Amino acid sequence: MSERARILVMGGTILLLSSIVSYGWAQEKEKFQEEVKPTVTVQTEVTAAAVSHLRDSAKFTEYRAFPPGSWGDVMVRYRRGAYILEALAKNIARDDQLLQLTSQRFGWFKLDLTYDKIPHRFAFDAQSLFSGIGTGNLQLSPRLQSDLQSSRSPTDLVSRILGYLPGAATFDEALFRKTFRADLKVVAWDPFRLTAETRFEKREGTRPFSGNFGFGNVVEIPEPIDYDTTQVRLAAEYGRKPLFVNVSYYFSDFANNIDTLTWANPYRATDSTTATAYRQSYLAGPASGLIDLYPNNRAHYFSFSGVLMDLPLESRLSATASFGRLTQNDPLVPYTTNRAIRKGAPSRVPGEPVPFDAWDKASLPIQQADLKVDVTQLQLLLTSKPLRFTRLKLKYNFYHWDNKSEQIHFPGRVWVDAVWEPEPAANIPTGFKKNSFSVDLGLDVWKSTTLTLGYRFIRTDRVFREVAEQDDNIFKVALDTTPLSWLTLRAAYERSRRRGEYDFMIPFIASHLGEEEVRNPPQLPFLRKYDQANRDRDSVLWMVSVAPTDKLTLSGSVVYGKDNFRDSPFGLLNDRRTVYSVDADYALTEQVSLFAFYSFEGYKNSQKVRQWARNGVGDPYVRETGLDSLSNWTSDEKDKLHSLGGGLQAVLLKPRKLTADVSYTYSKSDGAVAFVSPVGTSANDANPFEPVSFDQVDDVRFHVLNASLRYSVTRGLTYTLGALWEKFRYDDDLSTVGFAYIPVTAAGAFNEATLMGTQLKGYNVTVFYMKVSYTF
Amino acid sequence: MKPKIFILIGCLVGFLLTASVPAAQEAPPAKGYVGTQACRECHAPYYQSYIQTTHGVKEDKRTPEAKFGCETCHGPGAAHVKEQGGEVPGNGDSSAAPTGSANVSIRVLGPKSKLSVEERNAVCLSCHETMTTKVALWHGSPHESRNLACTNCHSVHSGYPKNLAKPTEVETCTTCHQQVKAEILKNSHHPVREGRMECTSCHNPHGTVTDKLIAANSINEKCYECHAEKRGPFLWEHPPATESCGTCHTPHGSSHTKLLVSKTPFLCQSCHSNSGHPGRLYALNPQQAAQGLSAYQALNNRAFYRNCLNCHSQIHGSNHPSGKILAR
Repeated sequence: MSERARILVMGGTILLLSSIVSYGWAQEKEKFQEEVKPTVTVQTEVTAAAVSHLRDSAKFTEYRAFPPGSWGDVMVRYRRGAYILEALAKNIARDDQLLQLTSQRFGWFKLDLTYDKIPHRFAFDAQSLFSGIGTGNLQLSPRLQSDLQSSRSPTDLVSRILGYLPGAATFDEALFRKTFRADLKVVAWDPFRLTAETRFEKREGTRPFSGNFGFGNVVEIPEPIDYDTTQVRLAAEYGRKPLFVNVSYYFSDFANNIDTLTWANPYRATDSTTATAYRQSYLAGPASGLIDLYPNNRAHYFSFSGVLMDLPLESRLSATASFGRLTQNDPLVPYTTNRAIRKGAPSRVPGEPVPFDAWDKASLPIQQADLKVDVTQLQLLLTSKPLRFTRLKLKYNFYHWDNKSEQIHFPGRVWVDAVWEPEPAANIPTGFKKNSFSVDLGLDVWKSTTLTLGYRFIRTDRVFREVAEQDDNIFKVALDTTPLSWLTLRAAYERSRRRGEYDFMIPFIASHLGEEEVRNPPQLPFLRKYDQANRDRDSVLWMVSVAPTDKLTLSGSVVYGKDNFRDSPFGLLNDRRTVYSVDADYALTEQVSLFAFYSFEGYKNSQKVRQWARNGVGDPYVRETGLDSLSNWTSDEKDKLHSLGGGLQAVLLKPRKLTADVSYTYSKSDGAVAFVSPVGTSANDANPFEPVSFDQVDDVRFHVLNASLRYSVTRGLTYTLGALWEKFRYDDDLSTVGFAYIPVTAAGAFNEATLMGTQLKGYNVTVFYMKVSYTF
Repeated sequence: MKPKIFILIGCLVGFLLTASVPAAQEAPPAKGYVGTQACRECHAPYYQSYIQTTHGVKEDKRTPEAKFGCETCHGPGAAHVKEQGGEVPGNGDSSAAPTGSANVSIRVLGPKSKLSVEERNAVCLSCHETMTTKVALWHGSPHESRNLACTNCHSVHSGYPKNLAKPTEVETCTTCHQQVKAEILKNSHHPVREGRMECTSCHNPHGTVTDKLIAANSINEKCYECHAEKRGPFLWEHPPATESCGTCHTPHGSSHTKLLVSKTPFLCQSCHSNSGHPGRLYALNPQQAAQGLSAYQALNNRAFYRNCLNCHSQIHGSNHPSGKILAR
C-alpha cells in the first residue's frame, strides 16, 4: 500500500469515526437534555518505582517497560443516558503505553480507537563492529576489512580481529510494535449489524540476525526492522432466530520498508571467487553479503457463514465458506553482489564457468516474484438431538492451499555470495488440500453425565511433497460428569493413525524438473519427515475438580500423549509428553484467601540420524545401502519442567480498608540430550567417537515474588506499596555469553564467528513501588 | 489501494448519518413478573453488580434490563416473592404461567444451579446465539460437546471484564487448562503473562471452524495476523512451515527459544539428514570433554548458538534467487 493511500485511509477513517462520535453524542444530548444529567468519572493513578539491576538483561523487560521513576494511568468517563465517552491512558509515556478512546451509544454503536505499544527486547548493550545499524546497509571501516583480508592464517586473523573489538559500537536490540486500531460496531438496526475493524501496525527496531559467508564465517548482525501492516475487516451480519448470517471481507497488506540488507564482510575488502571459496573468507569470497528480507505481500479474503436453527430434532445446520488470495510480487535481487562472479569466472565445478554476470539483475530468468496462492475453506456442520438423550454432530471440512505460482528454472545459484554453483533447480510451489469428515455421538448416560464417542477422517493431498496422499483416522471417547454439585470429572482418550506412501524423491524431481542429478539426492532415503511420516498417536486427559465446601476448591489434571512414528527408520522416532497439575483455592476466613498450584511437565523424544557424505563413509546410495551403519547416531532429548506457585490475599482492616496481596511463582526447566553412536574408525565411521551428552539444554530457573499492601484512605483515595522480585537464570551448553569473536579451536572446528552479545542472559531485579489512586 | 474502499467507506458514512434510530421500548408488563426493583430489595449486591454491566443498560433494547430485568434470565419472580425466597420448583420457562403453577421458578444459573447445563445455556443463548458471530458456532463446539455451561466461565455479577467468572481471561481459561498456566511461565512465550495478549487473541472459546478453537480458517492464518511478514508466498518455501506453523512452534510457551517445540539443531535434524553437515553428530567427543571444553567452544558454528539458523537465517522462506537453501 502506498504512503498516499495509507494517509487517505487513515484520514478517511478518522473523519468517519469522528462523525459517528459527534452524531451519537448530539443525538443523545438532544434526547436526554432535560431527563438525564451527565456524569463524569475520573480515575487517576500515579506510580513511582525504584528498580535495581534493570539492565542486567533485556529479558526482564522483554515485553514490558519498568522504568525507574514515575508514570501514570488516567481514565475519564463521560456518560449521558445511553451515551458513553471514555478515554483511557495506561503506562503513560512508558514504552508499553496503551491509549484508548471508546465512544458508545448502547443499542446503536460502539467505537474503539486504540493505540498500543508493545516492546520486544532482545538485548541490552549489544556490540557490533558495523556502522549504519538500523538501516539496510551495514558498513565496516575499509581499513578493518583490508587488514583482515591480509591475514596469513586463521590464528593471525584471530589476533587481528581481537584488536578491533574494543572499538565496537554499543546499542540495544529491540523491536517496538505500535498498533493503531479503530473498531466500529453498529447495532442500531438489530438484527442487522455492521462491523468495521481497521488496524495499522508499525514495527520498528533491530533484532539479532545471522549473516554468513560460508561455514567458517558467521557474522551476527542487527537486522533492521521497519514493517507496516495494514488490516481491514468489514462484516455485515443478520441474526434473528432461526437464521444467522455473516458476510465479511478481510484485507491485509504487509510492507517491508527495508526489503534488502547488505552487510560488509569483515574478512574481506575486495570481491573474489574461486572454486574453493568454501573456506575461510579471508582467502576468497565477497566484500559484502546481500539478504533479501521479507517481501511485501498482500491477502484478501471473502467469507460467509450462516447458521440455520430450529430445524426438526433440535437440529442446527451451519455453513462457512471462505475464499482468499495471497500475492507477492517483490522485485528480485541479483544472484549476488560479488562482482567477481562474472561471465567466465570459475564456478564450484571445474570446467563449468559462470555463464553470465551473476551480479547483474538482467541475468535472472524473471525480474519480479509474481507469486500467488488461492485459499479455499468450506465447512458444513449439522448438530442434532435425534433422541432425548443423544447428541449428534456431523462435520465436513475442506481446506485448500492452492499454490498457483509458476515454477522458475534457475540455471544455478551463488553460494553465500562466494561462488557460483552450476546446479539447475526450480522453486517448488508446494500446496495441500485437506478433506475431513467427523461424526460425534454424545450420550447422556446418567444425570449430568455425558459419554461422547467420535470418529474423524482426514485426507491430505499434497503437491510436491514426499507424501502425496495421506489419511488420518482418529477415534476418541470422552466422559464428562458432574455427579455431585461439588464434583466434576472429565476424561478423554484419543487414538489416531496416520498413514501415507512416503516417496522422498518427489521434491527432488520437482526441483530439478526430472533431470539426472536427482538419481542420488542428498537426502538420506530412509528418513521420514515427522510432519508427514506414518504416526500412531495416543493421548489421554484426566481432570477432576472438587469443591467440598464453599471455601475450598481443588482441581487436578493429567495429560499424557505419545507419538510413535512406527514406519520411520530414521528421523523422529517417538515423542512423549506427560503433564500433571494440581491447583487449590482456599478461603481461610472471610478476610483471607489462599491459592497454590504445582505442575510437572515431562517431554521426551528420540531421533535417529546418519552422518554421511556423498560417495564417502555412510553413503546410503553407494557404500552403506542398508539401515545399519557405524555412522548412525541417535539422540534422546529430555525436558523436565516444574512450575509452582502460591499466594494469599488478606483483608487486614475491614471493610477492605487495608489489604495485602502476596504471590510467588517458581519455574524450573531441566533439559538434556543424550547421544548414542557405535564407534568405528575414520575408514568406516563418519563419527568415530563415543559421544558425550549435553546436560544443560535451555535450563531455566525463574522466581517471581510479588507483594503489595493497599490502603484505602477514603472511597476514592488509595495508596499501594509494593515490591517485585524476579530472578532468572539461564544455562545452555550450546550458547556462548557476551560479545565475542569465536576463533577456530585447537580441535580445528570452524567456529570463526563474530557475535554481538545478544545471547540470553540471567537477571536478578528488585522493584519497589508506591502507587496513589484517586477517583472522583 | 483501490477506490472501492473509499466508496464503501462513503456509503457507510451516508448510511449511518441518514438512518433513523429506533428508540428503546418499554417492556410490557407481564403476569407473574415482579420487576427489578422487587429483586433489588433482597438482592441489592447482585442488582448493583448487574446494573453496571451492559446487561443492565435499559436504553439498549437487546439487554435483559430492557425486557424483564433480572427476571429475563432468572425467570418470573412472583412465586419466589410469594414464598419469601428460595428456588421454587419448576422448569423456569419465563413464558409459563405465573404464581401457583409448577412452571414457575427462579432460575439459579451459577455453579449451584440445579438446572442442567443445557437448560442453563439455553437462557444465555436465547439472546447471544444470534447476537454475534463469536457465539454462532457454539453448538457442536468442543466446549459445548464437553458439557460446559456458560456460567463455568462467565458471571454477570462478577464485575470483571466480559462478565468473566475470574478477573482475567487467563485465570478463567487456566482453571481447566492448567498445563497452559505452566506453559506461559516458560522462558519463551507470547506476551500473555505481561497482559499484552489474551487467550482470545488467538482462540474463540465459543466455537470456530478450526481445530483447537483457533479463531481463523487455519493455524497459519491466525499467526499471519500478527506475523504477516511470514505469510509469503515465497519464491523458496519451507513446506512444513507453509502447512502449519505448529510443525516447529508451540504457541503457549517453550523452554526453547522462539517457541520451538524442540532444541535446534536437533529439531532441524529430525527432517534433514542430508549429505554433509545436516546429518552431523553435534556432540562432544571424549577428548574435547577431557580438555574441559564447553560444547560451544568445541562444536563448530553449525551447532552453537543459533546453530542451523546461523546460516539458514531465512527459515520461513526466501525470495532471493540464490535462496534455495534459505541462507540468503
